[in-house]
Amino acid sequence: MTKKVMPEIDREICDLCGDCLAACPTQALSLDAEQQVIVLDEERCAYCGDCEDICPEGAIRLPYEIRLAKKDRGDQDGSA
Amino acid sequence: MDMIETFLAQHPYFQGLKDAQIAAIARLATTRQVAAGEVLALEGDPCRAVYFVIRGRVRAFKLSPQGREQVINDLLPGQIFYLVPALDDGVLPTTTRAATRTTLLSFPCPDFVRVLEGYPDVAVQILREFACRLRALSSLIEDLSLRTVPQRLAKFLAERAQERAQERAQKPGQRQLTQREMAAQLGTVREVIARSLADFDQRGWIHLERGVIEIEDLDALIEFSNQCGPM
Repeated sequence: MTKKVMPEIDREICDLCGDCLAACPTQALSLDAEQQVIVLDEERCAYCGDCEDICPEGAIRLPYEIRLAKKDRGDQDGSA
Repeated sequence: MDMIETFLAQHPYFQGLKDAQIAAIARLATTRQVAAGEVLALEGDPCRAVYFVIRGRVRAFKLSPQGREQVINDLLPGQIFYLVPALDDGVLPTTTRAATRTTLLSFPCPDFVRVLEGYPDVAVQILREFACRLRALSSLIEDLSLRTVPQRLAKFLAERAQERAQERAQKPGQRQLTQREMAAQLGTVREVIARSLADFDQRGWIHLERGVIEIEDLDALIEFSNQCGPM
């Protein structure tokens, strides 16, 4: 089963300001006060990008892979 | 080292300067905290300061005669703005507003010009960046005169997908871009990219899902990117 794509949170840059928690429309983000990290609920995350937009440190990225449809990729990746 | 000195010491413009030089430059600057939505300066005003974004994001835009905002770009941590009017004594070319809670570093214009005069290495680093920007702008002007934003995006997607298809046969690892990074490359902002992608998906040219833009109709994208006139 393909793993669901998730936002990338750079915990080195994240300063736990919490702006992303308020911005997330599905409440997928929370703060683990004990571990001092932002936690992402993978079931709730809609990959909308609001967290990326609001983060003042640029600690959150929602990257996209751009690729041809499988029918046009042929067997170049060995998957056909 | 305080926050200003730490920021300068890590910034590419000031690489190679000694601590004492960094400290001397830092004494000319002040920091400013701005709330999300706060307007920093207005298009057409005289230039009083050069700014670096330390933390947060600043949106630069122009107002059309009808009062509509035309976003020029978003400035991210490390980026400088209002350097051009500081150098040519012109008025501010854009209005700027904090898009998020933001911390700025500001130099009064005469002081920053003195920095460039006193530290040629800093001036050379800035010149190098201006040279890159000029090259990118030249390419963008050519694209702007020929293509709308959606057309530029269509061209971009088609090229990236084809490059990736070739690279996969040799080595993996083309860097994946966010919508904001695509917007910066295409001379627009994320919201426009998001709308265009949604439109392409609806037309069946792409399939848009979490973290993936899959090109379903490459020919349609290419044909659209080369059309004359707007979408």
